[in-house]
Amino acid sequence: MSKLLEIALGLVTGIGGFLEAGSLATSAQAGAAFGFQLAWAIALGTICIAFLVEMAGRLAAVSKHTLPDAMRERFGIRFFTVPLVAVVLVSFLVLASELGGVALALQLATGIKFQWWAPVAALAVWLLLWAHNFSLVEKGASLLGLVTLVFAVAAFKLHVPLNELGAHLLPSLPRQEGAKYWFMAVSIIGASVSPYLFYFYSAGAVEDHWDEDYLGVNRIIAGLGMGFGGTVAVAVLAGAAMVFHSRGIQIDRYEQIPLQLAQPLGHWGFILFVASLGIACFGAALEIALQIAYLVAQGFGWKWGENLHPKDAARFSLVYTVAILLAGLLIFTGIDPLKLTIFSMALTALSLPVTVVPLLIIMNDPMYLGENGNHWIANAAVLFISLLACIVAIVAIPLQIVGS
Amino acid sequence: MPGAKEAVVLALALALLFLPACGGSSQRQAEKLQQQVASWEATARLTRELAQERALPKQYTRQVLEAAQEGLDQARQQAANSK
Repeated sequence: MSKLLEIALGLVTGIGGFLEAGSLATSAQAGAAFGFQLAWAIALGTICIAFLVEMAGRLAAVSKHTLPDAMRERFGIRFFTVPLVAVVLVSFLVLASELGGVALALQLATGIKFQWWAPVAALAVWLLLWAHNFSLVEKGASLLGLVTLVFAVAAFKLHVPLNELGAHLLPSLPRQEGAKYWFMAVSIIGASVSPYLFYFYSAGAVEDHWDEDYLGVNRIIAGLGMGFGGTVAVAVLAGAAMVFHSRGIQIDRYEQIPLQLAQPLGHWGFILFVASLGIACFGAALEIALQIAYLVAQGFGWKWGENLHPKDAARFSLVYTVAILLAGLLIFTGIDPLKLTIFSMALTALSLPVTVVPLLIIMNDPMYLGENGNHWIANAAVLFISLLACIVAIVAIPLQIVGS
Repeated sequence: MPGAKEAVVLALALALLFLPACGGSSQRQAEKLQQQVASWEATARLTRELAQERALPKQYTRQVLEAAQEGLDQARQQAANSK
């Protein structure tokens, strides 16, 4: 495949795959509660994920190792268990949130309660993974995910004041509700820096047989793809600020969020919101279910690969089957999908050092990267953002739980 | 233990940063409930406006108005319990 096509597909994946239940819910809730004030959290998260995705791709291209594979080899199975458990747990909650998002989209379209759609959504995700190959799963979901660009169109139609929005790309202290502000900030960073994004990316690069010739492609995809994706998330926040914050509306339920698109775009706004939520969450659910299976299979050295027939990678297929089943059951219990999503994202931020620090160590190890090791700027940026998000999460999560 | 003092100082500084948020007074709770009520009333108002402009399907309009009613009931219940 030509490099140009690879870049185009990578950018589509970055844009179409960035927005999912987590970034949609956290950005909309933050925009409604604090106006443009939390735009910096999206910017910080986007910078961090761009670095991490670039690193994961570089590791795969140079060393031909996926991330879990390299971690287990470098640190041994005993240490590897720590990030394994953390990422699987967080990813499971995020998977449930995404299935909840799909079920909610179906509820908005039909009026039938989301719980009843949870088994349908879970079955559809499982069937697609069982029956189709990796390329179709990744590229199909991302291509359809471009529908989320409608948030940028809505922000344009709402005449978002770009100067004011730009001024909030730098962090600022809250004017009120400190605990909620910081909780929202870590949730946004957690949503942007979901470990599944870079774990999945490294597995994809290995499945696509990347080599050192792909380092440039990788850099462009990571920088531009994540950058555009982050811009769409900022558009969600800006739209929510314009429609909800100005009217004193806070987002307590998913049902409120479609108004953000219906106000500037009318009937099509509602339809496109339902499509965006359903497609984005469905695509993310596919990727997260696969990523959980990749992580466990690669970590324990089992045969893995979405392009393999399930009977040829039975344990790999069993892992995603069980993950989808349990996540579907969790949504079927009727748990509030919005609360689950926001909480999962905050937990993701809390777990960042566990998932990110081992990657940084590997990325500075000449045994894996040779001369392509990390620059100090990448190390410093990722370490700073991850530790900051984790420390703030340690304080903000208990305060938010007690406060609400 | 080296570093322990710094950790305590950092924890205290962070706690101070967040403390204004945990007033927990009944006045703060009342303000929060008032905000909740105003938010759901504004949601219902915006929904009706958009429904009148035929920007929303009836099915969805019903869902938001039900959610708004539940939110209002919940806030009023909490207000009654805290008296």
